[in-house]
Parts: sequence; C-alpha cells; structure tokens
Amino acid sequence: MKIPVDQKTSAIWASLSWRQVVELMVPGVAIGLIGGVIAGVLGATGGLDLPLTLAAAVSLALPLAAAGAVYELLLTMGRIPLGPLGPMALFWAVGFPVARAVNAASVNLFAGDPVAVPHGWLDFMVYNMLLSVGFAIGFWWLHQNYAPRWWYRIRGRNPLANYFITSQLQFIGWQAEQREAQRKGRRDRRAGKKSGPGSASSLGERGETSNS
Amino acid sequence: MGISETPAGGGGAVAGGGTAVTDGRVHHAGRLAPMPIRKLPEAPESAHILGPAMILVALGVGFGETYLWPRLVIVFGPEIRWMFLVGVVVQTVVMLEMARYAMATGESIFFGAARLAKPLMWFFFATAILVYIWPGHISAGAEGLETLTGIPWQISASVALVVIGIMFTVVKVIYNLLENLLGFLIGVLVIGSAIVGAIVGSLADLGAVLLGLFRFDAGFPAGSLTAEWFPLVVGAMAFAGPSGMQQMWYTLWLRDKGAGMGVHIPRVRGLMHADEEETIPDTGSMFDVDDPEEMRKWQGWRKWVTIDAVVLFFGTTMLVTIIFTVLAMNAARVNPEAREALLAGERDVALPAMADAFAQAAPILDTVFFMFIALIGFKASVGLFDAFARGQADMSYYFLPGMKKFKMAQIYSMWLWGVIVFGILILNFGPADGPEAILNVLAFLSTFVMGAYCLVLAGVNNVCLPKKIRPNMAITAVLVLGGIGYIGMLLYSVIAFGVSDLG
Repeated sequence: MKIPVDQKTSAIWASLSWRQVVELMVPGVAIGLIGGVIAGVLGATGGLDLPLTLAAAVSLALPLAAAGAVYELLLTMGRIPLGPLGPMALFWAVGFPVARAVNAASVNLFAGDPVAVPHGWLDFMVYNMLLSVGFAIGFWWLHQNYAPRWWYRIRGRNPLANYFITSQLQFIGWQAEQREAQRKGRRDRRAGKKSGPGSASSLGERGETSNS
Repeated sequence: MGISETPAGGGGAVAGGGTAVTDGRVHHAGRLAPMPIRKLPEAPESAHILGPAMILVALGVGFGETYLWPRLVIVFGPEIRWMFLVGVVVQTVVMLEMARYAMATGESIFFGAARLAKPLMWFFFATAILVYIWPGHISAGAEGLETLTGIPWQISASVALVVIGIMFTVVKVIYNLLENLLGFLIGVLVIGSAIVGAIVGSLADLGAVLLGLFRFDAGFPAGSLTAEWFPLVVGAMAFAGPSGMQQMWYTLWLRDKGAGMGVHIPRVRGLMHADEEETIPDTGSMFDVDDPEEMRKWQGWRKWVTIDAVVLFFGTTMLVTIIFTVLAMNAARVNPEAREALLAGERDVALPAMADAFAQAAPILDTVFFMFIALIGFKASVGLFDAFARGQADMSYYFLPGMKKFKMAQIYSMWLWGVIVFGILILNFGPADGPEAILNVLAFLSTFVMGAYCLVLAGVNNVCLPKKIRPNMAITAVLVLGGIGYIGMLLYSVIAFGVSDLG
C-alpha cells in the first residue's frame, strides 16, 4: 500500500537541519521512555532484584523510545498524518511487539530461562500485536496533549514545529478571537450605557454581538 | 419549539423546527427564555484537538472496569462480557446526545432539563448533593496507597482533598488544569495497563475476553439471577463507563472547552481570578440551522465529538477493562483460592484477594494493582469534585434566586470548598460512603439518575432543539430503552430481591 505524503510537511522537512529533525523527535522518545520507566517502577516496587529491574526497564525503554523517534521522523517527513489514531495504531502494531520482543529476550537472558515468553514466540508476538492498540491509544493521548507544547517552545527556531502548531492553533485562535470580540462588545455596551439610556433588551444585545 | 423574531422574554412556543433566522431572532425552547441566534464556530480538524471525553474517561474508567467486571468474569466466565459491550454502547450514545445539546446551545443538560420542567432540574440538583458529597471515591484510592506506603488513609485522603481545593482555587481557567492533569494520568494509566497486560497476560485469555464481548447467545449466566448476584450484574452494566451523573457534567466540560455554541459562554475561573470573569449570558444560544454554511460547521462538530466518543471514550474504556479482565483471569487460574474469595467477598476483602491472586501470577502485580487503585481514586476525586462544584454552580447561578449577584467563580468555590470541608470531616469522623441508614437510598439514586437522564435527554433533544438537528428515531429509541432498562432492572432488583445497592 502506498502511503500518501503530505506535500507541505514534506517540503518543510526537506529544508530542516539534522538538529531540527532531532529536536522534533523529543515527544515520541519521551513517551516511549515513560513505558520503560513504568516497567522499571513496577519491577523495583514489586521486589525484583536491581539488575533484573534495570534490564527490564532499559530493554523496554530503549526500543520504545527508538520506535517513538521513528514515529516522529515519519510524522515530520509527512509520511504519517498529524492527528488520526489509525496510522499511529498501524505503526505501533509493528513497533510495540518488536520492542516487547527485545524486552523479553533481554529478561530471558538475565533470568537464565524463557520466563518472559511462557507460551512461545508466535503466541507472544500475536498477543503483543493485539495489545499494541492499547499502547497506541495511550501514546496518541499523550502525544496529542504534550507534543504541541514542545512544538510551541521550539516554534521560533523550527519551521516544521511552527507549521504543526499553527495548524492546531487555528481553532484555539478562533476561540480566543471570539471571546475577545465578546469582551470588547460588552465593554462597548457598558460604555454606551454610561453615556446615555436607550439600550436594547438583553437578548437583543446578545443578538447584536453575534459573530457576523 | 422553533425560531421567531420574538424579542427577549417571550418564551412562547412556535410550531415546527428552526427556520430562517437573522440577527436579533431567537430560538424558543421549552418554558424558559428563548436563545438568541449566533454564529457557530468552525469545528477543529477531527483528531487535532482532543475533547473533554478524556475527562469523562478519567472519571468513568475506575471501579467498574478494574474490579467489578474482572470479578464477574472470574465468577461467571468471559461470556458475560456481552453485557459490558451493551452498557458501553448505550453510554457512548448518551455521550453523543449530551454533546448534541451542549454544542448546539452552549447550555448544560441541567439547563435543558429546566427548559422541559424545572422540577426535573431540581431533582438532579438534590440527587447530586445526596450522592456526591460523600468522599468514598478518594478513601478507596487512599486505602490502596496505605497498602503500598503505610501512610494512614485518612491523612493522605485529607491532604489530597486540600490539594485539590487549592489547585482549583488558584488556577486561572479550571478546565485547562483539569484537562492537563487528567490527560496525563489517564495516558499513563492506559500505557501502563497495556505494558502490564503485555507482560502478564496470554493470547488465550485475550481471545476468550474478546469473544465474550459478542456472546449475546449466552444470556444471563446460570447463577446470576439470584439475590446475591443479580444486583451486582445490573450494577456492573450501569457502571460500564461513566456512572451516576458523570455524563451530565460532560456537557459542562464541553462548554468550557469551547465546543460548538459553548464558545459564547465564559469559562469557569478559579476564585483567585474571579475578577477577570466575563459577563455570563442569561441563556445559551442557537445557530441558524437553515444556513447551509452553519450546518456544514455543525456536521464538523458532530464528526469531532464522534471521534472523541468512539476513540477516546469507547476505545479506552474497552481497552482498560479488557486488560484488567485478562489479568484477573490469569490470576484466578494461577490461584483458584482467589476465585473463592471473590465469590464470597465484600469489596474490602475482595480487593486484597485480587491483589494476592495477581501476585501469584507475577510477583509485581499486587503492587501494580494497588498503584492503579490509588491512581484511579485520585484522578476520580479530582474530576468528581470539579464536576460536582461545576454542576451545582451552574444550577445555582441560573436558578437559585439572588445568586446572579455573585460571580460564577465564587459560587463554584463555595460548592467546591463546601464539599471538601465536609469530606475531610467525614473522612476523619464519619462514614466515607455515607450514613449506613441511607446507603440503600444513595445506591438507588445513583443508578436511578442514569435512567432518568436518558429519558430527560431524549426529551430535551427532541423538544428543545430545532428539528433539523434533533436525533433520529433510532437514537431516541436507544435513549428511551436505555432509560427504561436502567430503571427497570433497578426496580426489578429492589422488588424481586430487595436489593438497591448495585455496586
């Protein structure tokens, strides 16, 4: 299947330096690392010994962070659209099982036997592929909430971040304009009342301030 | 109900749905003042801006998903999960219909209920006070924390309540804080659930759970139609997704998000920023349903909220329940004693039993379980205190005489700190879930209100909205059947078995 490329994103990407590309990968890497931290915290509080806890955490965090970086790369290249869950779920249907396979193989290596894959590798991969939908929803959720904040911080030095944030801010900007227009309308009316009687009924006033 | 050139204060019904409108015209809806016609804002790209479904999910994904349903599956098998699917589908429809009214008018569903008949609104006002002043939700989370850390639950719960109160007092726009905080917590919860499920579960269990969702042929399992289990089965259906009044509060969050006509209503501010509050209109507003451009924008909003409902609400709710059920099945298989404990246990006994069972499956899982219980308790409390204060403030401002001389932020704070101070007193000196003498009444009300809002919502959307944007017959039928279903099963439970506590 040929994935359509977002031409505008792709054109901006072509003008970026490697440093700018790398800083766009930060959100995906950070969210991937959260997965590893969760595994580490679980292992540590669950009484696993330190080497095994570290092995479990690092071996999950690194591949998830790497996959997060690849996702961001595809996003910045315009290969994955910004926003929809579907393409992200497809991406993690591959990325999550692979990360878990690295994680399980590492834990097996440290523990000395195949404790992480009790039902065999085929069962393991299919199961993790199905659960990847869950991880994708969590990733999507955090990405949609927090990546724009990062883009906003770097928008001055990164044209693609600026493009992403601009497309998202169109709606927010519209809201701000609406509210400011309403505030201005009310201020004007109050000023009008002070200068003399004869204002319309309250609903009439609201009608006049409608966004025409 | 419809649109006319009648000026403010008319309130008389005009036949038919909405027709031509211009500036100064109004839409008559119910018995209250008509709504002025204003412009509908442009909808955002569907998936670019997440809606307040995340708050509803943060509230809704909790006790039912992590405890009630895993417990039922251990007892009756995964075939019982078709009921969960039915429950969540009904709740998804309810959510979309709540959004229809809130986005079309900028009014809360409480205001909509008052347009039908004010006593309906007062019923919800009183029910919210009776059901939601008890701090039971935070005590459950604090008990989980005590198991992990040894910190007495009364201390952590009281501190958490004060922290929540201060957060919502000092922040400029409360909704933004709520969305940020709960968005992060639920994101971590979802990712954490997926990772834990991936580490512990198995393909066979997942397959059984997924198939169980569609086993409509299984009906009510043998043994479930008893005084012991029927109320719990019905309660679990009611608690699939948001329970109690959570769906009604969703309309208030949508408004503060600026969804649809909600953009014309000022957002609720923290008390420290009350002086920045804009003038609040006396009613919501309506857009010109005869303007094709406005209808195009309306369709954009419907698409936006549908993505919100289907992906965030339906998807996340299903996901967390599936994963916790897989964990529970694994635990029950590894430790058959857990099944017996669950069969016999009360919640206070069953939670540690499930944790023990999880620990048998994997050493870390009892910790995980209590961490999630603590997390769920805290996030639920954050959302519930805001929701309660927001809903009561909305009804107080518009319908309690004399309240309009206060700012919305002041009324919100009054309710917020009222419930927090009461909660701290109760946590330390009284029954966290409410007095035993009225527990049955509270349990009855919290389920009854779900049936009630389904029926009220069907009425509001079919009476107060212009014909062109009313729900179709199928949607109305789901709402009516859902309302009858909730109330009917509750009454059957009370009449046949004498039990009103469905949790």
